Amino acid sequence: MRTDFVEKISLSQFFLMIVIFQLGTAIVIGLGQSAKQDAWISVGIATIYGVLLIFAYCFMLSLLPGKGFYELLKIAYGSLLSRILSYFYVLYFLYIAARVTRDFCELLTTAIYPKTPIEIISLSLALMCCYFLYQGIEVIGRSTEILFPYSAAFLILLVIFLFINRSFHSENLRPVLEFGWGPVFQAVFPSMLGFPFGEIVALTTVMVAVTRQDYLTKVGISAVAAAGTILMIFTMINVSVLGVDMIDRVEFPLLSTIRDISIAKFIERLDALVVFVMMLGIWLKVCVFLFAALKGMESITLIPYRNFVFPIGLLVSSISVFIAANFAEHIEEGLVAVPLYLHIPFQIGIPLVTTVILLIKVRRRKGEKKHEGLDNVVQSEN
Amino acid sequence: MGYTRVIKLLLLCCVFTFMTTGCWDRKELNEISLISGIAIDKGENKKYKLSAETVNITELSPKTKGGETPSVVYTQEGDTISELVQKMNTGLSRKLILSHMSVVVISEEIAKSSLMEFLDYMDRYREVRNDFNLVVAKGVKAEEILTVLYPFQKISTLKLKVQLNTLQDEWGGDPDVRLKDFIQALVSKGRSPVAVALTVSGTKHIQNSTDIMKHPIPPSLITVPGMAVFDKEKLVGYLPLEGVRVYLWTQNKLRHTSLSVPCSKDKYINVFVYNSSTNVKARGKNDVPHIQLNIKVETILDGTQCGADLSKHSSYVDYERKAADFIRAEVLATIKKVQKDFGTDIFGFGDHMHLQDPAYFHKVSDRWQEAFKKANIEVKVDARIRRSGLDTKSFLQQLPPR
Repeated sequence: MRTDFVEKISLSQFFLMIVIFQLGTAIVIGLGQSAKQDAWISVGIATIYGVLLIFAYCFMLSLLPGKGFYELLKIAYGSLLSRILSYFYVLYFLYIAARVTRDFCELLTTAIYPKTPIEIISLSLALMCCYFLYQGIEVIGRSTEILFPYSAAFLILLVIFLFINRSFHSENLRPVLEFGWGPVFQAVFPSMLGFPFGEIVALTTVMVAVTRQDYLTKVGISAVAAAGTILMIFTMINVSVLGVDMIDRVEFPLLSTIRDISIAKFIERLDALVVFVMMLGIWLKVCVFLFAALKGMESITLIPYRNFVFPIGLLVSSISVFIAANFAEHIEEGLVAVPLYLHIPFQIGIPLVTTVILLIKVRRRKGEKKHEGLDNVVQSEN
Repeated sequence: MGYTRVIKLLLLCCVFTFMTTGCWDRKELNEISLISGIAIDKGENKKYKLSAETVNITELSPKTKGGETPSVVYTQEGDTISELVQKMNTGLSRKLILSHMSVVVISEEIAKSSLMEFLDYMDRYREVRNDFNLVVAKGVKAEEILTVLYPFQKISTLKLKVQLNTLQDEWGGDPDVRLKDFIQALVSKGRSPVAVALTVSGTKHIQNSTDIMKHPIPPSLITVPGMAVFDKEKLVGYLPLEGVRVYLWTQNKLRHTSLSVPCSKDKYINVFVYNSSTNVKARGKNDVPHIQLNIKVETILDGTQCGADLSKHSSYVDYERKAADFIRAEVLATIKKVQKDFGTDIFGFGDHMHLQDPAYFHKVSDRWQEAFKKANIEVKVDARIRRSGLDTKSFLQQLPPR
């Protein structure tokens, strides 16, 4: 078994990880359907929130440079309470990883493999993610860098094909703000706060591995803004191709959009492109959520996380099947229960309180440092 | 050490056997049979009667054909289309695949009694694509449409697909409605669906035979009488072929057509429209919807029976005015007829109103069909004749006086 060693990812890898992490499921499942033709405005508003959120996370981590998210919890709450909190974070990350896996399995069973058991699909995805996690976050970062161009090329190709196919009907986006700002904000709060932008919380465990910590905030913000813009563009594309009524009806808007393409009866049935884009996003999301959970277990048990990779990975694969009996249950849980009871406390609540506590502790210690001339106060406490 | 390496290698091999098996859902080509079209009639005992036309592929290739029937049609009754498709093997041999279906024929009876719920299955089922023609069988059973063979494409539905596409492209006789368009029109508050109508002309008794392909004048043939008009999911009537052309004009979808414009008593000029665009303006004034259609057409003069001197600009202007008047009259007549006879907005003027005057549309959206009936329609036509073929003057002018 490998022992833990210091892993590093570059800024560009970090940037691409955030972008793909954000696009992941959101680009295929679609966002803000309740805002009808103004869904893209909702996504824009949510992007602003996402930028603020990643700024806040980076600020929290910059208070004590070099410390991971779980170490910050330890410093802020002390040994016992931090362990309890970490334990809940582990559960949260595992649950979200299972949800993401389920999203992917549902797409594949609906669109491509109706006769394949969902267990097989989830198991193969989980095994792959386990292998990547066993190799470490560095390998995940590098793979993201290698696979991103394909994903980007497919998305660009998709837009070009839709354009050639004359699928865009800009009138579907009008009238703008037909029912005022109400539905636009209702689509943002609370569901779009948690998904996809709030999920960056899992990336806080990865941020420590970034080489140039001084650029972390800048890169993070620009990555979230870029991802938000791409999501906004694709929300507009989906609505303008499918129309509001159909967006309301379909399970995977981007999949239905791409099925619209039929150029010269030759270039058609491009479902595989969307599935690839989604597969890359899902793979990264599952990896990052699992990594966050495994790091949490490492900080609780003080055993290197690689020992947990395979058992936990297989557990996630089975949870993903068990969490919901059918697709509607899965989606309803995701829209009703998860944002309110899981996303808000774990993404906003606890990090916010932690930041405040850390801020107070750091200030106080700085004061002590000045008066008593102690160095490394922070480390001594650790 | 060697021992553990062997075990690791064996484990790896086991994993690979799982990972490299390929697709779980694969189906070999000789296990499936393509459905080229389906026809839905009202069942006698159950809700629907489904006829599926499957292709005998060997008969379509010039090398392997042997004079057998190119298609096999099988009919069954049941309550859902989905079950019937899966159950077709009570009579047919292979698994049926819906994805290359090119025509779905709905019987008049089904359309009139609003039994269009089966469209949900079509919209939902992953195999069904959005590229087939949705047609209504006028005056005949839907299944009859599937059994009229034709020498060129052999199979009835494949012929229909080519026929409808060509008709739309060359003359503007097919409304170009696909499944998603139909559903979009069904759910929209400001639009009602249409579908092309088909009928079987000629003697019907020998249609169910490959012999039909041996006659130079086909004993029976599928023809297009016009277009079926729906009030939401209920069929309310038909428009003739000219109505289809007007429909395409209002949708800005007309590609080419040919007009016979009267120039004096019983004399006509013939113009070929090669470019056409329509702009619809919708406004609510004093609680009455005002719809303005601006049609621009570019044409070529194909023939004249009046014999004006076409080297002069003034005769162009004269003909252009006549063509514009003709188009305006035809468009207005059809829209008025729809307003009066059917009272259902198949043109989607409500959708235009929704975009251009949302405030007014919100007031009337629940009773848009009523508002449409008394809507004020204005048609402006800008017809241009660009050139006149190989001749300038007509030989009719050069005829010696008698």
